[in-house]
Amino acid sequence: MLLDVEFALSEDVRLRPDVCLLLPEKARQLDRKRIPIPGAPDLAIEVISPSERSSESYRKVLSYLKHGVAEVWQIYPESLALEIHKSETRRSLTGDQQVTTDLLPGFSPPLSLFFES
Amino acid sequence: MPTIATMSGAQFDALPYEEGRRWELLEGELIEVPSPTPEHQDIVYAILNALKLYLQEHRSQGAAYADVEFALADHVRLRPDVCVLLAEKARQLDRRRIPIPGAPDLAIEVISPSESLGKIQSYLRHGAAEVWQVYPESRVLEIYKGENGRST
Repeated sequence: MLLDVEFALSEDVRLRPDVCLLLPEKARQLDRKRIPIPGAPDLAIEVISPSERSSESYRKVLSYLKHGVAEVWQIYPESLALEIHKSETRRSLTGDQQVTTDLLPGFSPPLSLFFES
Repeated sequence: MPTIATMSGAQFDALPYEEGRRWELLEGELIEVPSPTPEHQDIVYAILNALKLYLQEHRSQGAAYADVEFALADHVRLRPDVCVLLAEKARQLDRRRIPIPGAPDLAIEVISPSESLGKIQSYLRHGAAEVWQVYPESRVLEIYKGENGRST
């Protein structure tokens, strides 16, 4: 577990979670003298300050998840709430992939249908 | 969970309607929604059309709408580009009243890069089962499921 250490999640993304957790495999590979740490932590925890815009804090959550963080926890001190975001709850479709959802069984148009004008 | 709370839902509901000005209330934060482009509206129409066709073919009791306002919580008023209400919520719907209380089952936003990502979180936090985010420029659809846990 580390406090306030910077990660290079990709070429153009540098984030410093308030708290992060590296599981044994990543922890073993860690060069303790070098920052930013290349790659993503396994868990990133952000304590949300009252001045932070929800749009900005969620942008960070999405960035963590996109770059391989398994879980992101957001802590809201004022409302004593914890929100847990997991990477498997997010799916990305491109090109001609079929748009499907558990909500609408049998719904399966190709994504490109949405962009035909 | 307002971070910057600038306005309550009641204050928002009392705002005068201003032609050409479109606002939403995101966790107490008043946000301006840009006027839609023709491209944006074409995509919204295509999605709505596909959904309505599906609902018709499956003789489903569900309903799909464009641009209808929801009161997701006291300090949240959001107007998804497209929304789907599944059978149960559609049955309970008062078709003459806005904002619709609660969350849609599916909220779909067609966004430009400048728009707020915070809306996804807000929809899921307040009970939407799924949020679809459509990126017109990259022609990508991102699907977010509301299984994220929250405890207080």
